[in-house]
Amino acid sequence: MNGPTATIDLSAYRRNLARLAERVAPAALMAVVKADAYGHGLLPVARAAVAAGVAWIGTLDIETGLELRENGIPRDVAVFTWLLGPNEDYGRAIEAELDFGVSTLSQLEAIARASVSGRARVHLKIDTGLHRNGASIEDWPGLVTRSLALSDRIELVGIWTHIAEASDGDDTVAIERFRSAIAVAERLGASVTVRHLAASAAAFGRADSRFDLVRIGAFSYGISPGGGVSPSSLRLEPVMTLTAPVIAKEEGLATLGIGYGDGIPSSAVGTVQVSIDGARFEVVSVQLDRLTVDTGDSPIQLGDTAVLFGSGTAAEPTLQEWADQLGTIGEEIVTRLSPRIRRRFLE
Amino acid sequence: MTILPVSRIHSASIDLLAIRDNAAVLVRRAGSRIVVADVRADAYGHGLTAVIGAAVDGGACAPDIDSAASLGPDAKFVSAGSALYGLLPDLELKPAMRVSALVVGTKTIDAGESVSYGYTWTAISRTNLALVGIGYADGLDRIASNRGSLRLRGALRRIVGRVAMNALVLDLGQDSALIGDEAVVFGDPSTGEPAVWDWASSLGRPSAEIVSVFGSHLPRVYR
Ligand SMILES: Cc1ncc(COP(=O)(O)O)c(C=O)c1O
Repeated sequence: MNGPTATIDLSAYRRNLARLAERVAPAALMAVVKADAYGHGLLPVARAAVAAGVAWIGTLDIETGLELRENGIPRDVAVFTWLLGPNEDYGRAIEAELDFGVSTLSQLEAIARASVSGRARVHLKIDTGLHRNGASIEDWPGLVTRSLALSDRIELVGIWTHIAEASDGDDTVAIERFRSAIAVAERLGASVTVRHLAASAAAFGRADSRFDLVRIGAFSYGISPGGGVSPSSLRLEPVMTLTAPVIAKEEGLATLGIGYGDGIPSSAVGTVQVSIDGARFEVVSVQLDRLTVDTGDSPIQLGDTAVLFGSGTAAEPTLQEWADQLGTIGEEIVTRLSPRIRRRFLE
Repeated sequence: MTILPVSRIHSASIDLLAIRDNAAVLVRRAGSRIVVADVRADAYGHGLTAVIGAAVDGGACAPDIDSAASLGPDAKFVSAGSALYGLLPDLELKPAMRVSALVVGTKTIDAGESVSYGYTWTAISRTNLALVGIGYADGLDRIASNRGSLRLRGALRRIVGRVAMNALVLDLGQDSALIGDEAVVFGDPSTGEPAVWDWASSLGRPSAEIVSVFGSHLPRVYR
């Protein structure tokens, strides 16, 4: 009997990338593959992105960037990392020609110290209101000046930020702040070629957010922002289908071999449905390694396969429905799935 | 067993002696019945092989059908799950998993400035923030946004703004923190750290779910 499986439709992923690339052109597209490619499987997804002609990959951390290089992601594809811890081994990362998203002087100095042969590729980050990473407006000139002074070791490739997507108005303010930070850097002598601000929603919706490069995660996997916006309304296709076998059947209930230990939220009880043979059933309990659905008098058989969520083309629930019903976003549901769930890739 | 690179920003550290000692307590309490370790879901996210070793050291049985059957039809079994991992507030049991992450950024913001996606939290006065490298992709539920707290520098600090995929922000008020400081989601309550059952109940989830999900995503370190 097969266990729970996440089937990843790489051709849908490539179609999403192609549509998004067309929409954001002439800006370039970075495929964001952090968190094991949003739970879809790092290497197959990254390879599909490269095969589709994507020239930028965003990994979040250095370790994942190194993993991509070790597994043959070529050097002409830029690999962007930006969650930099206090004790990073920058030497290896520079050797692997990773790009760094730098927010502080101490990160910059550590990178410069490690950059003994050749120049490390750096993108300076300005905080435009999200208040996570990024230099404050006060610290910004110092960070720019220092990176220019270190030009024998630091190649200043880009300037970037990340925005809150709180409202159009708030995003407009962030875009204005970004433009000012770029202007300040240029006055200080910087000539950057890659300016980037937008993730999925802004890149899709606003031409003025795209600059030279957009960083796309969610939309490439066909994960829409919710609140009534479906993937198909954006002409995007869901990439993951999650299935689990029926492992027990009794008195109007069917038990599936997947549970909260596999990453299904226990809050799925009474909120979401699964589909078996085209019919939908309510989840009535979630345990460590199993989940029970109320099948009434439907003729469910042991060994049937239940679809928890999928593309929706066979009337099964979609990730978007799950997210809306669970009061969260699709990203949380897919990244929470256990790495022990088998990923099956369709080319 | 994993030795983590020094660069590790977040981890689930697993106390195997706690699992061994918890097993011994459960064996004693079980009297003549045989205690079988419940190691489903990769030992509730604690790591199958390591947990079996520790539980057997404490006198529990591995959940091996053949050997269980060889104990004879009269043997009475009792399965040890939550108790084995110390997920219950029981003074004789010790929680085996500790989840923590490092401060990767610090910042001071003014009254009226907001934090994280959707700007769901706005400072009412000038305040210090710490950015911590753990998020919902690591198992820290997004519903902890503006609700949960982590222990940092000796006090509980509230999560402000939305928990993101790989990071969250803590409000420190007038206190400050340094990059590299450790923030604890839960650990050993006997040392003042938050307990997993308090974290779980604040989110309305079973403790077993919390540890299984963190354990399957975070790098594990064994103590
Ligand atoms: C800095 C940065 N850029 C881009 C993304 C991709 O965002 P999205 O999944 O909304 O496209 C993320 C992920 O949250 C991010 O942290």
